[in-house]
Amino acid sequence: MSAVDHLFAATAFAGPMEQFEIVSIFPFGTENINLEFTNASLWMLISVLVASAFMFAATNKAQLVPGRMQSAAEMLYQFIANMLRDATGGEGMKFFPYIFTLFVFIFLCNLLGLLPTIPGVPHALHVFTPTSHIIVTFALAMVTFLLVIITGFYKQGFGFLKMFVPTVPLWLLPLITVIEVLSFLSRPISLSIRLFANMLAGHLILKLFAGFVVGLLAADGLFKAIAIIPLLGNVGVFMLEILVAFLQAYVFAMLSCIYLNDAVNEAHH
Amino acid sequence: MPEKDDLPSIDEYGERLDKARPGSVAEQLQARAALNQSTALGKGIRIASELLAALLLAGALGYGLDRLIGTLPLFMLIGLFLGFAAGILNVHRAMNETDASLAEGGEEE
Repeated sequence: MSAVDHLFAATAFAGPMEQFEIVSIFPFGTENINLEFTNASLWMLISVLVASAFMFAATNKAQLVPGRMQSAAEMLYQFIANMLRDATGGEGMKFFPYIFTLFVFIFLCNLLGLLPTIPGVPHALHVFTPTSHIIVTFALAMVTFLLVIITGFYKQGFGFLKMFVPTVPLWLLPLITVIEVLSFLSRPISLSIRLFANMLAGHLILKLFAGFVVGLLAADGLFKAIAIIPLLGNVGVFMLEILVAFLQAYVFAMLSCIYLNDAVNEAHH
Repeated sequence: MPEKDDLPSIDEYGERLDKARPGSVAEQLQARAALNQSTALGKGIRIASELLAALLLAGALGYGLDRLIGTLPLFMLIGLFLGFAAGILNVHRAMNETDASLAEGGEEE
């Protein structure tokens, strides 16, 4: 077998969905409650550690004229602060720590998932994207959703429910209110589907294109030359994926800000 | 003082710096992000998720209600219809939000 054949055998064994498999690293928990530490937990932990390390390093020796690291951290701070201020008009700045954490965590989960896996390491240590699992994104979306509901009732009392009653003719009101409530309840679902579907689709495309390259290299003669096309395609898709990693974190945080706006400011209809 | 001629005060320097850059780095990043929100796949998934979420939720709620009181297809169908309406409302809002964020944070509704 040639080297390419070996490569092909190895990739053919690992299908495009293999990268999303959850693998237990060490088991934990009781018979009914499974709390094991998996590769998803590992990569979420790595994201948190990377974010913490970056922020600590950047603010460790803070100076009036910032260095490179400090500039990057300040830029990030300003970016999130502006986004939140634009969406909630200063009223929601109390939620800055939450939105900042949310953005950085999602962004790093997305981005670190694009790192190449070191060949030959055990399956549990393969590079993994936690945000490509809907339960992870749904949990994040539910935190935002519950935060909006609790803040809304805390700030506005039952006046919060006014957001479900737009100004429409009286005979339409029962129907529209039901639709508004359904629309509100569907927010965490659409929020989580969006992030998860983007990450899933991106990683699938990358893997499929990579599969084409290996498949074409295993073929005879002229077909080998065609392999350059999916390879170049993959380079393009990869660059797009870096953009998507940022963009989806931005969209998630941005929509969280917009939803929080409903809670802290009374709705204008 | 001779230094006054060649060394501007820190305020003057700040003004010059502000004039020189077209907008803060954060603003530029934000503008770029808003522009790029229109990657075709992203936009498609956005619309699909808004529509699908409401439909799934309302359908599931109706189905659950049916299972509770044993009127199986009735509330599920009503739920699907209402969910479709809510989904359209979601898509409408989502598109408005994108437009509003492009037109510099205009207030929606």
